[in-house]
Amino acid sequence: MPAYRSLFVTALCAFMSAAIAGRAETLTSLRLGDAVSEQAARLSAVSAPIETAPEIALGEPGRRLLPAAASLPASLAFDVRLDPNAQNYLTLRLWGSDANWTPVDLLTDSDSVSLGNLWWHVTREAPVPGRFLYRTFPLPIEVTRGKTSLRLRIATAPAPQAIGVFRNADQPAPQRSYRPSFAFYGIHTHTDSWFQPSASERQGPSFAWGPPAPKPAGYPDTVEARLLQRARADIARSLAYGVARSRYDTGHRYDTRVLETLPLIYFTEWSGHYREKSVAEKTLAGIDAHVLRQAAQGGAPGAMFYRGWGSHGRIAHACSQMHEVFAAEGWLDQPLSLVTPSGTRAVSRRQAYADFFHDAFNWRLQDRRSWTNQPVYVSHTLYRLQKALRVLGDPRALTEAQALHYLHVSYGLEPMRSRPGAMDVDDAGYPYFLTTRAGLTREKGYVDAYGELSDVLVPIAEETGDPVAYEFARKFMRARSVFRIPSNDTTGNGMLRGIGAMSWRGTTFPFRVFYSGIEEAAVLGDPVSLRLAQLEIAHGRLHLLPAEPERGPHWHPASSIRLVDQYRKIKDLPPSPYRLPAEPGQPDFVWSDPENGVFVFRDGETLVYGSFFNLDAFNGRSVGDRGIYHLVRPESERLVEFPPDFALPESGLSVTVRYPFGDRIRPQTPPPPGMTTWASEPPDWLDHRAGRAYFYHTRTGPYVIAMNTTETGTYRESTWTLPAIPGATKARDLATGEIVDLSRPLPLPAYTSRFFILE
Amino acid sequence: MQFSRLFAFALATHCLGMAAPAVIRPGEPDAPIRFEHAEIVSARHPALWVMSVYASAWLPGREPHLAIDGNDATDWRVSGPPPAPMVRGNWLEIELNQPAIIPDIEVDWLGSAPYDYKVYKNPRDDFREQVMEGRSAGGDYGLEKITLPPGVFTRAIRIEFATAADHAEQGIREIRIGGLAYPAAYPRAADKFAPVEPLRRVLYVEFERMPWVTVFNPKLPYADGGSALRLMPRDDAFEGGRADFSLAVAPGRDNWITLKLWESHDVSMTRRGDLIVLETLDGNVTQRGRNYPPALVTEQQHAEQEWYGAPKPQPGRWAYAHYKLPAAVVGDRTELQLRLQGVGNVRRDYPMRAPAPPIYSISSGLTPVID
Repeated sequence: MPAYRSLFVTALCAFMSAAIAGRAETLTSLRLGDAVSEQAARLSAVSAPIETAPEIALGEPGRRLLPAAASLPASLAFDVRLDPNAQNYLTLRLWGSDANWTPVDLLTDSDSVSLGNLWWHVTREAPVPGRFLYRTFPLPIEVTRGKTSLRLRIATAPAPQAIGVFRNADQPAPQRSYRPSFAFYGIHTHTDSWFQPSASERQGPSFAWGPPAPKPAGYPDTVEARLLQRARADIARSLAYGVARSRYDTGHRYDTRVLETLPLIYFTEWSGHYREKSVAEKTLAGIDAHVLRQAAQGGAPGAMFYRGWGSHGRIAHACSQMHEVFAAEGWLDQPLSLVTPSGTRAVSRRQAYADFFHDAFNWRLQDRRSWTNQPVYVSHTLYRLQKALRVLGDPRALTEAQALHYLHVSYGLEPMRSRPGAMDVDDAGYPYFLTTRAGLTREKGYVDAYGELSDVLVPIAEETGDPVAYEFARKFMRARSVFRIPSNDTTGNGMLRGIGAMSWRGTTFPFRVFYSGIEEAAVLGDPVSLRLAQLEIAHGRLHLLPAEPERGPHWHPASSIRLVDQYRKIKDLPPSPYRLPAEPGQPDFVWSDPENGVFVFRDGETLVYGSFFNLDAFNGRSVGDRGIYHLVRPESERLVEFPPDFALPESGLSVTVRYPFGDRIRPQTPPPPGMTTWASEPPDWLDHRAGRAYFYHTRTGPYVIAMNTTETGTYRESTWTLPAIPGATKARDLATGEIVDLSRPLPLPAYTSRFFILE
Repeated sequence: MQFSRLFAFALATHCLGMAAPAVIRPGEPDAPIRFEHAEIVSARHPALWVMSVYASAWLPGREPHLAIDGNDATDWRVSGPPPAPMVRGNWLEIELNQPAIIPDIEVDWLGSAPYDYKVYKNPRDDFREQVMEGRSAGGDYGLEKITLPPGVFTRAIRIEFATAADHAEQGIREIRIGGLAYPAAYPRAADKFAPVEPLRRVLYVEFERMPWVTVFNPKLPYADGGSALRLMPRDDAFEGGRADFSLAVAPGRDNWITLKLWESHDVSMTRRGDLIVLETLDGNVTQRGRNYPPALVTEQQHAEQEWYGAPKPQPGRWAYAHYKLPAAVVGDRTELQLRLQGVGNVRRDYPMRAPAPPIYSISSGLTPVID
C-alpha cells in the first residue's frame, strides 16, 4: 500500500534513525539574566528588564516583556544554534506560579516572519504553582533547513487566538496586546521534542497533595446542612421567579430551568412545598405562557428561543411530570384561547399543548447539531417532547423505543445522519458516531469540559431509565477518569484537575478543578464515579460552596435540590476500591483512543497526556502538522508540541495552508468507497476523519508511541508498520513489560496502540 | 445486451446451483429470502369496490370515510343542517369504481333516534334520482338493511336524512353497499395502514356549482393477484422490518437493483417516508452495510378524463424503485448479500410509522428496468 510521507516525516525519520544515541543534545542554552549566557547569545532586550525576587522562581533571574510604547514593542532577540538537517525545537523555561500568561510571538529577527504563537492556551490561573514549566515548540523546518544558526525574536503577540498555533497568513493580523508577558528564565534549542533540563537547573519542590479545603467561618456543622441551605435558597428563588412569561433572549434558559424545577419542588417531601397546589398552578401558568406565545407567532418554534436546544424539552418535561396533577384538576380539558396571526381560536389546553410539542419536535428535528453537548441537548429535547405527547395521549406521539433512538444517536450507539456529510459517510458504510469506542467525544479530537458527556448523560439516564444510557455513562466516566490529575489550588489545597492542554475547544491550560462524581455516583453507582465523589468530599471541595448558589449562566435550581439527596445517598458508602490512574502510588498504565489520536501513559512518576491529532491550521480537514503532549512530573511539567510522524494511503486529496513562512500541503485520507470527497467544514459539518492519518508514531526522549488508528471492520482496517529504530534493540512495552526489539520494523494491527520505553 | 448477458449468466449458474438468482419474487413460497418484521400479503380485487366517499359536512375527527372503515367505534358525524347552499338534509355519498346494480344497502345509524332518510342514485345533482324514502327503526341494533327497488343501476349512491330538530349530532357508524364483499371492497377496512387520500373536487349542489368538496378515496393497498413481501413498522424500534437475500450481479460494473412495488399513496415513498433502502451486507458484524436510497422511482401512469377536472384518485398502481450499486462496491463479485430495510424517511431521522409498499419482485441488472 503506497504511503504518503511528508517532508517533515522524512526529515523526522532520518533524524530519528540517525540519533538513537545522544538525541537529547541541547544546541542552545540561554539563561536569562545571566550576563555570560546572554552575551553568548547576543541577547537584545527591549522593554524586557531583568527581574529577580526571592519568592519567585526560586530566586532565579528572568526577563519579562513589559507594556511598551507602540512604536517599540517589548522584545527579546537572541541567537540560537540549529541542526541544519533535523527538526529543531525551542523550549522556554517558565515559572509555573507566574500571574501573566499572554500570547507571545516568535519571529525571525531579520525579516520579522512569524513562526508561531508560543502561548496560545487560555490560562486563568497559575498553571504549575511553585514549580517550573517547560514549553517546547517546533521551529518550522522551512526556516531552519540548512542553517546552523538563526537569530530569533520573541515579542508580545496579538490578542489570544481561540485556536491554532499559527496564524494563517490569509487572516488579518489582530491588534497587538500590550499586557506584560510571563517571565522567561531560559531559552533552549534542541533536536528532540523531549527537552531534558540539565541536572544543574534548580527545580521546585516535588508536588504533594495539599490538605483539604477547610470549612469557612459560618459554615454549618455538616455538609448536608450546607447543601440543604443551598437547596432551600434555590427553592425560594424558584417560587419567587416569574415563570409565566416567554421570551426569545437568553433569559429563556432561566425561565425554563425554573419551570422544570417546579415539579421537583412539588414532589420533594422536604421542599416545604410538597404537593402544594400553588406550585402546580405556577407550572401550568409557565407552560401556558410559552404555548400562547408560540401560537401568537404563527406556531413557529424556531422563533421562540435563542439557541434553544433544550428549552422546549424543559417545558415538555415540566408537563410530563405534572401531567397527572393537571389531569386530576381538570385543567387539560379547559379551553385555551389562542391568538394567532390568522385569528383567535379556542382549543382545549390538552390540544394546545400537544400542538405546541408536536410543532417543536418537527422543527427541532430539522437541526440536531453536530458536536457533543448540542446533539445531546437536542436529542434530549426530542425525547422529552415525545414523552409529553404520549402522556397527553396525542396520536402523533412516537413510542418510547422510537423516541429513545434520538438519545442513542447522541451517545454514539447509533450513527449520526442528521447532516448531509454524515448521511454521505453512513451511506458509504463508514458511519459517523458522535463518540468513540474508547469513550470520548469525537468532535475534532479531544475536548475537555464540553466533551465530557456524563454531566448531561447521567440526568438523562435517571430520567429515562434507559439501560443504554447507564451503560454509556459508566463507559464515559471510566474513560474520563484517566483525565483527572492530582493538583493543588492557588491556596494550596488539594484537588483534582481536568486535562485541557490538548483540547481543541478553549485550549485551557491548566484546566479547572474537575471531579464530576457526586451526581454520577448517586445515579450510576459505579466505583469510578464513587471514587471521584469521595475525593471531592475528602478534598473539602463542598466546604467551598456558598450558602446560596451563584446565579451564573449555568445556574439551574434543580441541581442544588437534587444534590441533597444525591449526597445523602453516597456519603456513607464504603470507600470505592477504584483508584484513578494518576493518583499517587498507582502502577504504570497506558490508555489510548485511536479514533481521536489520543494517548495517555504513566511510567513511574511520569504522566503523559497527548494527542497526535491536535487542532492546527488544517483544522481537521487534512492530516495536521501538530501533536501535543502534557508531561507531568513531580518536580516540573512540560507542554510539548511536535510534528508527528504519520502514514496513510494515497488519496490524491490535500489541503494547503499559507503560513507566514511558506505554504504547507497536507494530505487527506481516502474518502469511504463511493465518495469522491469529504464533507468540507463548518458551519455545515466537518468529519475530522479526513484529517486523521491511518498511522501515527513519534519518539520523544526515551519513549516511542505508535498508534494505528484504523478501525476494525471498516474500509480503513489495515496493518501499519513502525519503522525500525537503529540501535533500539531493547524497548520495554509499558503495558505488558515485554522487551521488544525496535531495531526491526514492528507491525501494528488495526486499532492498536503501543507504548515503549527504550532501555 | 448487457442485461441479457447478466441474466444468462445468472440463469446458467443458478441452474447449476452455483449462484444467486437475478430475480426474486419474495412473496412466493420458498423464495430465497429471509425476513423479520415483514409479512407476506396478497389480494384479489373484486369487480366492484368503493372508490370514494364524501359528505355534506362532518365534525372534526368524524370524516365520512370513517363510515366505511369496518370499525363501529368510529363514525361519520354532523350536527345541525348542512352548510349553504345545501337546503335539505345532510348526506353521505359513496362512489364505486364502476356502475352496478345495487339491490340493497345496510346502515348502522348513529344514536337511537329514528332517521327520516332518502336514497338517491347517480352522482351529479342534475341527474340525481331518488330511489327510496323511509324511516329507520331507531334504537341501537347495528346494521339495518334497506332494500332498494329492483334494478337500481348506478355508480354512486347517496343517503340523505332530515336534520334533527334539536340539532343533535347525527351520522352513520357503518354503511355497506349491498352485494359488495366485505372487507375486500372496503380497502380501508381491510388494512389499518391503507391510506385514505383526501382530494378536492367540484360538486353540483342544488344545481349550483360549489367550488370544491373534499372527497375521501380509500386505497387499494395490494395489487390484483400475486403475493408480495411488506416490510412493517415496529413500535419497539426506530426502523422497521428487513429482508436479507443474495442476488446475482455483474462484476466490475455498476449494477441496478429494481423493486417492483404496488404503490397506493398519492406520492412516492421517497417523498413521504416509510420507504425501503438497500444495504449491502459484507458479512462482518462490525461493518455496517452501505446504504442506498432509491436513485429513481418510476410509476405506471393512469389517464382519467372524468374526474371533474380534479386530480384523478389513484387507488393503486405499479411503481419501480431502482437502486444503483456502484462498480466499486460490487467489485469482482458475482453475487451480493443484500438487505432491504424499512426506514422512516430518506434522512433516517424519523421512525418508520407505516408499512412500506409491498414488494412483488427484486431483480438485478445493468440498467434500471421494469417488467
